Amino acid sequence: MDDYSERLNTSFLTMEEDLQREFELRIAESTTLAFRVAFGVVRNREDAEDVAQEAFARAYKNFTRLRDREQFRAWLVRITWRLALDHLRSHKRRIRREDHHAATGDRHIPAVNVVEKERVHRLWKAIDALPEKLRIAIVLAGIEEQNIQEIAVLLDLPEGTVKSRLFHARHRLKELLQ
Amino acid sequence: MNDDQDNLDRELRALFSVDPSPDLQARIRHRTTQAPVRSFPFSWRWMIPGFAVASALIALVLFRGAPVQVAPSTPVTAEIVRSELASPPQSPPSTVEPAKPARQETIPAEQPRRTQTQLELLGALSAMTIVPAASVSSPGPGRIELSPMKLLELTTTLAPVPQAAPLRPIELEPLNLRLGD
Repeated sequence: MDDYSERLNTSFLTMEEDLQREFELRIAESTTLAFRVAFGVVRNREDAEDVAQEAFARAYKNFTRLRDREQFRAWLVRITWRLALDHLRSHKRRIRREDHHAATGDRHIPAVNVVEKERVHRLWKAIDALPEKLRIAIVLAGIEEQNIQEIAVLLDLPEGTVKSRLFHARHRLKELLQ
Repeated sequence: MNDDQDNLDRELRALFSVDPSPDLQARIRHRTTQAPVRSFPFSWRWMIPGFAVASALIALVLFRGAPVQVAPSTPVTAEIVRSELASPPQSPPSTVEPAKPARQETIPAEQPRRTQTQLELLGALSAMTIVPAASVSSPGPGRIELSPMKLLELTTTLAPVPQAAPLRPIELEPLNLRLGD
């Protein structure tokens, strides 16, 4: 009996270690993606990092429920997007943050002059004005190295739908920016 | 047009080319080591609704599908009436005979069983033909006793017409009951 329980404990420990190891790899390959997705919504580095952390914590908690591990990135994007929206809504800092961005400019973009700052501010406002479906598509397209195929996988949509959404999103952005 | 799109794409890429702080991965690792992982795909939040649905299904199966013993309707009635009429009214006996036990018509156990749905249908049918409920009594669970005299009245009288618009009186011919051989 002791042998049996010991073996059982050992196998559970091994499973947990395997799980931990696999999740480590996922963290390494998807941290930037989660951060940028969150940044696309909350537009603040600290908040985006908080959201990304929370998204990984939730993903880890439910990692065993994910049957197809190849879908991890898509799953993580969806979790992050939802959490970022919740974060934005619950904290009600949107207007304050916009003012902050408008006042200080975005640190990550070397805004050389006031015109460029204004342009960035207008671009964010235009992205915010997009419907959610178009917004997530354009955010993922804006994140580097995300082509249409990858966006389709991340959003679990056909490539044609992604192309159509990107077309409409760009069209709307151009209208709003003119 | 293409230049515009390229410019827009370039601007978008620049907008999102933000890298997280270098210690973010370490913080995430620290956070995930503290969070317990669910060892198997099971959620307690589904327990209560699942239990409720299972209970409802079991109750439905038990109460809906259970056979209910009821009296057969027309054939038995006709048979009882026939047997009553076949024996002419007896005059007072000249000799004292041992008193017969009171006749009690009960439905034998071999009669077809009916489900609750059939029982409801029978109730609806009897309401349509306006059978007085007093003519049917239930001596016990699953049995219905039919009084012979009441049945005779039922077979020889018509159901009253519900009061509606004034109708001219209808003369009814006496019924000729053929009770078979």
